[in-house]
Amino acid sequence: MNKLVETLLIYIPSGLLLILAGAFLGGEIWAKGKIVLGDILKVFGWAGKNVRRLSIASEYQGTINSIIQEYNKNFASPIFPTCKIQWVTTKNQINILNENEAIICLSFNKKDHNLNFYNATLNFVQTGLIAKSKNYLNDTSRKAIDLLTTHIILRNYRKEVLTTFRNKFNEFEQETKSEFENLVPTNDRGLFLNLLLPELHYYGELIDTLPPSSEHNIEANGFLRWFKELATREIDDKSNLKYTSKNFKIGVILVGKDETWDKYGVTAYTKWADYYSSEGFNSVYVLGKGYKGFERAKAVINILTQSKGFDLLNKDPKIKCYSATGQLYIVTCYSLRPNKSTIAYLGWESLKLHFDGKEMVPAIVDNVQKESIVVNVFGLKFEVRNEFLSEIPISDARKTFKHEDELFLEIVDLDIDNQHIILSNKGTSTDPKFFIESIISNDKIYNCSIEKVQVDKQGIQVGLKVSKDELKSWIFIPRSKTTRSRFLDLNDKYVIGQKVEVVISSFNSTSSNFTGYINDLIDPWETQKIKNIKISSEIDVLVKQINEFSVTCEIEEGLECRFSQNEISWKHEECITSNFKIDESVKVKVLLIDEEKRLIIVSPKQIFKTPELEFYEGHFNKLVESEICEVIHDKGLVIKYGGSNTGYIPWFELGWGAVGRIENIFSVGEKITPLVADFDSNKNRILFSIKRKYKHQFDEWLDKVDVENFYEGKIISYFDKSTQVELMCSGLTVQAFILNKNVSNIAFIEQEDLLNYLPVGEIFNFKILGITHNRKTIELSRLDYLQSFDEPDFGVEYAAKYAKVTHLKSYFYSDELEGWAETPKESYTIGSLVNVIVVSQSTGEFVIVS
Amino acid sequence: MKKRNKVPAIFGEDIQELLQSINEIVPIENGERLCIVCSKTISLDNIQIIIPRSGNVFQYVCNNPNCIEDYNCKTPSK
Repeated sequence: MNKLVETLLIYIPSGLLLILAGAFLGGEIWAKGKIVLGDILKVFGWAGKNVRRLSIASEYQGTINSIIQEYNKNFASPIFPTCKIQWVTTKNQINILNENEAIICLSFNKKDHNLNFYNATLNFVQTGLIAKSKNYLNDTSRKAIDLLTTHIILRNYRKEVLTTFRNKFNEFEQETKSEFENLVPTNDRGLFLNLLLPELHYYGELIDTLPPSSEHNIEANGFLRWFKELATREIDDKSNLKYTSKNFKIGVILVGKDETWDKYGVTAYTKWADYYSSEGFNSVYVLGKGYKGFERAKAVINILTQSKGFDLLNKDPKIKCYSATGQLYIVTCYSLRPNKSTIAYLGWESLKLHFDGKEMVPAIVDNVQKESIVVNVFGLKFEVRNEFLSEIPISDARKTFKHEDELFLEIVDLDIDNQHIILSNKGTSTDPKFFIESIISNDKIYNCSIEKVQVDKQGIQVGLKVSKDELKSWIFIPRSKTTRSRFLDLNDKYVIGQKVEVVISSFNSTSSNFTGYINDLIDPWETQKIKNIKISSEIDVLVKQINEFSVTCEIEEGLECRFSQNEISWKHEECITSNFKIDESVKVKVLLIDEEKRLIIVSPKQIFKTPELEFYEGHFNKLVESEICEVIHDKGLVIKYGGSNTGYIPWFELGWGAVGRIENIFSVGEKITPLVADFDSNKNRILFSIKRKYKHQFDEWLDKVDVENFYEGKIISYFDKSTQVELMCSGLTVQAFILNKNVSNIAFIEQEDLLNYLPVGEIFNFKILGITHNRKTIELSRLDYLQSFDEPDFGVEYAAKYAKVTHLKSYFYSDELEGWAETPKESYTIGSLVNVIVVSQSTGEFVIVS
Repeated sequence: MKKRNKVPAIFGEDIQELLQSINEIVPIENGERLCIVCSKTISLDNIQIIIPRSGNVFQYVCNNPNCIEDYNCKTPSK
């Protein structure tokens, strides 16, 4: 955008452009205009601070509000709030600063702009969007949702900030990054913005009126799990199309299969809407794929909104999506809300019409008892007794019907005035006379012949059709029951006419097909192959799926592994996933095997060991003699080890506490002995740690510590404006720190005073001032301990260390006593022991006697 | 109804002046203020969020996005 604006400015008088831009800003009718204005003003940044400030405000508000407005216009009433910057200055700060209300920094200058802008966007997403429900999601999911939303905003309107996003993305925890990667496909399929965010918004509004409860955590996380399964399902995968909990009731209707549409038309879908409404669902989504899916979903929606009492919530259901190969396709997502009283009225009207026209009515089995079933027809519930279920005798309806079976029933009798109806399944297309009760109830293994590999209209394999003479219909085996692989071509594994052992599991009354599974399907996680693979094993794998951030491969059929973009090569510029081809063989090294999550993480680049990686593997957790070659302000230390190799100690690995300014405690050329702690495979660099040299049993200590007590600690070393202290408590050792200001109640402690106040190796008593759980740090203070003693007695001599002297006063200090005296005429050596007698208990004045 | 969130913000070039007016510039220049999430020393170069607390006390979050995340996660929504 900047380039375009600069070019325009050459040809068009800048004054005119500014007037136009001002109009955009004044009217605030078009948020995108603000982005343009921000870019124009950026060119005029030299004109003064006010112009620069206006530029950044326009850029920020324009970027955020553009996407929010575009999003909100799809809904009858806006879902997300827009934002307006309120600048805090020295003049207005008294009126604007509110307690606990965070102020975000935004910079114009190039150095800080992108990071500040990214942080500010992330901050708005976190605090402004679905804030009421997000707190109930677990940390990882919440962070991943925020990151993906931020990424969507930046990708649409501030692409230049995406570089900062990518750089900072690597600093998030692995779990957050994995969850982010899991959510990316849900956005690729259009459902992240159109289903997840609105539902979390409605949920937040609902629970905001309820008392807080841990149930909300369970149902919010359950909803997210369900959503991810739904949004990443493959065509014909069996997935749960509804999510129900105490406060969530969401149903989905997929308008997809040609087979169903051709056979039953819209009723196959509208009956599910009836069912959802009668079960008290709050939201119903109708989803379709492709232009055909859109047309069909539209036909279903027309019936639901015009004659079935549903309210349509979103205006533009068409979502443009792109496949991994870059092919454009349309996803249709209609959001509906059932209007219960209208639905009940229209239900009886529909029954009358069908009865008069002698038409079948579509029904869904709501529940099944031995003697009868309850069905849902047009959103109303009716009982159908066994004698009306089939032309063959049904002794136990539970063996023949199941919850959510789809039926077509005949209306035998109807009396609307008395709300009386008799429904019958006898002789209809869904009469279960076509299957034999005994086949379903026994676990017999059938030796069947493969008839065909079943594909849908798009050519995607959905399973196998097999036959057995003694059964009247073919048996369908869904793809997931024929192979554990998501990628295998079934024609490579199964041949027409081949014999397979099949167990029949159910009967699909809609298709009048039995459904079964291959009897001896092997779970790849239980074979010898996986048992032979260990961490660091080198194996050959086949590439099966590629996306922007990672590549999924197969070790053998159904045994998947994955590597992320940054594990492709030691050279950053070669880390491009699209360089791989499907079915390409790649040699990789195994980094992680998680049997519980069925997850194997591998790396192609680590096959080739760099000298740094070899050194790391040989010296992990060992101390290494090193020399500091660079102290980077606020970042860490670059060190030289093992000859000419360089490693890095991040600032947070220097000590268990506030280490202060590192350039004040370390200097170039200094010899240190850090611990080999980690390997940064992105930068091919060993990460060292100083703090991990020290024993730190934080978690066990936390269970035993009583913060009201005083604890003995040994002085270990000095940081900048603080001191490292080793606490010993109940046989456990932890590292803590004390800031200089918490050492003395009387004297101002400077860095050079620490040698006399808290000499290394000596033991003192401390009080625990604070514990930071996530960083495992413990802050100490001496102030309370020194004040906990009775006033010193007059005339009694106390021994203490002569610790500090100024031109007016001299100070002494011990574990239990501190005070001051007028600087004596005799000269005492700093650090020597002196005897003192109290002069004034209230001021802490003493006199030195020897 | 159209909802709008006011975002209190400080312009990068105004930070020093603002900190001076709230008597925070000296402690920051002395390295006495730490990021409330990661304990990193706050400087004029890495301030991202300023949080006024009661009694003229101010807290800070540095410009590491992880810290922004963690701070907002622990702050009750408005």
